[in-house]
Amino acid sequence: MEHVIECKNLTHYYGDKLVLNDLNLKVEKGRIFGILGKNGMGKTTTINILMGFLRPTSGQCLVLGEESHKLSPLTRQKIGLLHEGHLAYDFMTIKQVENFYSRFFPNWKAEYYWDLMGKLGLKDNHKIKNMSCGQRSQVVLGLIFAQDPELLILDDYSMGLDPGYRALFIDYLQEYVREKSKTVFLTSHIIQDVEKVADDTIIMGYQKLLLKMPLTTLKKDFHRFEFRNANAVGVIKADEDMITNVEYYNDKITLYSFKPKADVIKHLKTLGITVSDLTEIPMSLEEAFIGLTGKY
Amino acid sequence: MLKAILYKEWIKLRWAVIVIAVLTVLSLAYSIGMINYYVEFQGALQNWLYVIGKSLLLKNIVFVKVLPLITGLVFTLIQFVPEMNNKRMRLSYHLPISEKKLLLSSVGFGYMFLLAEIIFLFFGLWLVVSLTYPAEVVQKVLMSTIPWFLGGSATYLMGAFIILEPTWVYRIIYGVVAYALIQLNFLASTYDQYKNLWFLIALVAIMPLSVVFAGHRFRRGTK
Repeated sequence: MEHVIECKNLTHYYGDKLVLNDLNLKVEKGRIFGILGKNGMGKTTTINILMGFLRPTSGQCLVLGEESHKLSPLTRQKIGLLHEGHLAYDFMTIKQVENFYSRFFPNWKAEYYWDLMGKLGLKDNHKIKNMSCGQRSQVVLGLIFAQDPELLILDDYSMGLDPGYRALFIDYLQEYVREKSKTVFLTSHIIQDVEKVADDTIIMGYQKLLLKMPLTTLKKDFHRFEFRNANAVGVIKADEDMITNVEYYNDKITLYSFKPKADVIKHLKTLGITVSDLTEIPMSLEEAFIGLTGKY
Repeated sequence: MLKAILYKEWIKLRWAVIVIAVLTVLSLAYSIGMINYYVEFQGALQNWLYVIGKSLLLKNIVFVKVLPLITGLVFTLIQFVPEMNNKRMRLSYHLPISEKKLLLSSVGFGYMFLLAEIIFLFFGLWLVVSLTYPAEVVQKVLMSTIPWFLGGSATYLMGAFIILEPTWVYRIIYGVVAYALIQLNFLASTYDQYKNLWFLIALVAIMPLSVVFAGHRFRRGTK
């Protein structure tokens, strides 16, 4: 199997509302994918389809070679899921939840779980419902690590975590994933974290995939240029090939493009715009994300 | 894996099982008190006439009537509300076990605890009534209580069906149907009014399928 996740022509409607339109996506083995998208762009819908909790209106989504909405128990055994909000059986204690899960997974590695629990400094009979969100995130992560899955799907893992727990989560995840060469598919609203941990990024726009590429390529090939020209305001439009996005602020024009500076200048000339002060402004992943998806 | 599911359901239900067992003992003790009070108050002959003619014993054991219903309701709430809170059922659905097996075993284990309480109550009642009355009366009383126990079972199963249903509109519809079905078990006010219990038993026997249906709708992401 070449791809751990493969979505073909994925389309989904909620009633009459189109959420995903003909989405195609392939996730290669052994890499960490960070999925980014503004609210309402179909990120949660995609994750729900991948997790098998939503049947797509049309198209197909294969996870470890099986259709995501009818994964066999054996395949589910190979997938570690972190649900939004660090969902856990909160009526159980630290010990009970380990005892419960360990009976479902033949490769159960209890040491990963207990190592993380040792860091929390809580008693084994501490109830999960009496934990902070950060503590609960460690329980959930420990359970996923102990399961020893091939694929980890982490839905909005940073939600509700303070910077300390977020850093702890990322540190443990990075170490575990690198050491055991796992495939990870994660979403987060904290783009800096995704930048720190992901090899590849997937950016979702309105009803479609905007891009999927290695982070290093995105950082290298995606550019932001600025110049001032009152006559050019409103003249430049975003298109598929040359200009990915354009922003106007008074006479200041910001262009985002995957093309080098020389090509952009040439393109502007074809539009009758002469620029002498086109400056490339370096970007963080967050700025690149906003550049791709727009501020609004 | 089934042991693990039993373990989870036991963690949720254990306190309720103990509390209901205590309530069962108290209800039986109350029934003994009521029977003795009426025998002494009315005199043996008068009491006998009331017991036979007016089904007095069914009034003496009124707590026994409602206890299976309460037990069914409490067990189903304790077991399935935490699973549906924040869609926690998704955790269970991701376990490496088939959906049907997961749902039927969860309901099966819960029902097993309910059945244990019902059997405890049934034998307790047999003992309580046998202390004062002859075998024929005991038999009439016990036969008359079977619909109540079926009512408790129906409450448990229909409760699970309603709680696991993902949409409120369907929950309300199921609630109305459940009310009608459960009520069928509590219509009699005298002994032996139910000539044929097979219909009620068959209804309860098919109810676990409704739980699988609701669970499947949740799994499919029905909104």
